[in-house]
Amino acid sequence: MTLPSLAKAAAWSLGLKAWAIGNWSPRLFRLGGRAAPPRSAAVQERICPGPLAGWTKYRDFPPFAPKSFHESGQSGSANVSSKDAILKRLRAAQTPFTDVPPLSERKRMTPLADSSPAALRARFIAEAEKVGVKTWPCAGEEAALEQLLTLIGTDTRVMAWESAHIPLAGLSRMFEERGIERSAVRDTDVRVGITGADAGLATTGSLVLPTGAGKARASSLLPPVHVVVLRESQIVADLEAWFERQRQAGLDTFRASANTVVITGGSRTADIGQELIMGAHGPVEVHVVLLP
Amino acid sequence: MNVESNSFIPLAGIAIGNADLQAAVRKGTGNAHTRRLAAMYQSGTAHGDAMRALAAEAKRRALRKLPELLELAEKRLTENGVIVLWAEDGDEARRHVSEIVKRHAVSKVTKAKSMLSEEIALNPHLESEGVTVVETDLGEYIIKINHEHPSHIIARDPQVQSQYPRPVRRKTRDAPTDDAGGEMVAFARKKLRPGTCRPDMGISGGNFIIAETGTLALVTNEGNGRLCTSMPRVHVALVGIEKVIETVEDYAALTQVLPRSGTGQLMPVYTSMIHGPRKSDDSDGPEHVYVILVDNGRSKIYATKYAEVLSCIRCGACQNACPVYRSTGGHAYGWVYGGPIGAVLTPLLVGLDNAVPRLTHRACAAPATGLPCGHRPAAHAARSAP
Repeated sequence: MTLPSLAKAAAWSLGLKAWAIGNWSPRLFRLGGRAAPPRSAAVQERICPGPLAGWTKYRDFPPFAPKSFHESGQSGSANVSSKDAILKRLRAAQTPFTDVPPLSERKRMTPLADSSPAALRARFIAEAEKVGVKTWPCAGEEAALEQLLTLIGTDTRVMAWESAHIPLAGLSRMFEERGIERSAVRDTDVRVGITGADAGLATTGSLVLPTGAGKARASSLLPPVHVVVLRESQIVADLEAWFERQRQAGLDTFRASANTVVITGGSRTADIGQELIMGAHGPVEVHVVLLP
Repeated sequence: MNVESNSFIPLAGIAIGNADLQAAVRKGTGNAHTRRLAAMYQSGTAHGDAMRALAAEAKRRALRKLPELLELAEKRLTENGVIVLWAEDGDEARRHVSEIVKRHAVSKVTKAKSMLSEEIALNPHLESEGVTVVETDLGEYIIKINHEHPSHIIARDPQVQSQYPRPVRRKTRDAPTDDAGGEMVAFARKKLRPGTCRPDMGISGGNFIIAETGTLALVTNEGNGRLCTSMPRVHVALVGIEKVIETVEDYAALTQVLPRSGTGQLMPVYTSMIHGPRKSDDSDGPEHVYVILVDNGRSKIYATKYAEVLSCIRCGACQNACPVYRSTGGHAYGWVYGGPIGAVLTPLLVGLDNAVPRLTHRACAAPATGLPCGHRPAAHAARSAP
């Protein structure tokens, strides 16, 4: 081997080592970039050994990945490929159920022959009773406030929605007069929760409760007694009818509520020995104060 | 969970010999069929049939468009502030959960009943990472304390008998001394209240995902689903990819058919429709919501002639109607899903080697009488078993 070729081999080996060291960390890589000779290829090739000659050429390598290859193999980028892999498999399969009619042909059937307000009200009360919800039809606001007071009893704290969301005008005043406080949402000792509702569903005796500012989820979940104040005009035929209304509003109101719950009766379980026991995790009693 | 479906015959023999179990299963499934028909046709036969047809159509239409709907659902969920993760298998799903646990420094998890979490054996995994897992479904709460697995896919679990609370009492000091279920429920209720049990994270399944609005829908009777998804800081939902449906109207039909078929209720006591974390002015609710879309063999089933099984909404009616299940209970099936639906799903998800012997369900036509989504699990069981 001639001397120049030996020197060249040594230069390559040295250059590769320096290159490898430069790749240890992002900082060293940047440092190497800065320390590398000026961008004149001719000068570089003359001064620098081996691969270092081209350093500045390759200075524009993609930036260092935030995670090491090992880490990203465990999550992150692997997730994207999981999605792709799943969708790819689904798309590769022969589409099942090609005989299903398209969405435009969907026909809904109304459960009620008579959907007058009086019929809706009667059906709602009957179905609510069947699932153990007590309804208290009241002639006016005064009677409704009286009924509410009877349900609250001697308690001085209730977990209530803000008055603006309960369709009963004199509520705040009554709370003040009777010295009833509103509890915090995390308070687990409160016996009575008072809420409004977005709608009542006649054929199932259900209540639709959205959530939002002043409409805590806990009010209808934590206290053992849940009282709902509902206007008769809020009763619709069934869940489909309620969704029909939401669709007319563009579904935006529905999506804006982080958690909408449809409540049908009191919390129950039949998990132990198959006996039906009321009041598992949610309220034991549900009352509806019904206003015209 | 170990797959022991091969041992169906010996396990069934043991189950049939267990008088307590026999009584419990019979009590649990006895009048289910009558209750189911009464609920389904409460507004007349025509309405009931129309609703069932709509529900069946909804699931089939969704499966037909599954890839697009999954993408739409991800888009809408993300718009709603939900973080969507995808998992090819149980391993990846468990890793996602572990990562979320680490990210939010979670030490205590409450769980609502989720068969998918059983399928991927999430509880032992979380416990091995030092996380306390509390089941909140009352049946599961007791099962968990006894280190067993659920035997029925909906809340009603025939194998939890009134004598089961006994071991609980031995292990937990202040438990009730009475045998009545009511005492036990009151005890569990107290133990699992947010004031007593302060979880960092709630894990739930999901009954449906409505693609057009990015809604995660969850159905429970006890209220534990609401407890798990409203009270902790973080909510994680594990949902199979076949749970996506197209519109809110589809959901309205399905969510009514599900309880009518399962327990004979007109509506579940609570159906939660979740649109993501609490808004800035909400007074309660989780700060982070994750949805993990789990495949775990489902996309493979999608490509076979058994794709129909993916339209199952897990109402449990086939179990209530099945003479085999009614003689053996769910554990004899040796894996997560028992009864006719288990006889179909188990071999498809964990392989043909693990199929329940074919004679068991081949000749049966009982469950075919009016399942909500027009399924024929018995027919499939006959075809898929070796």
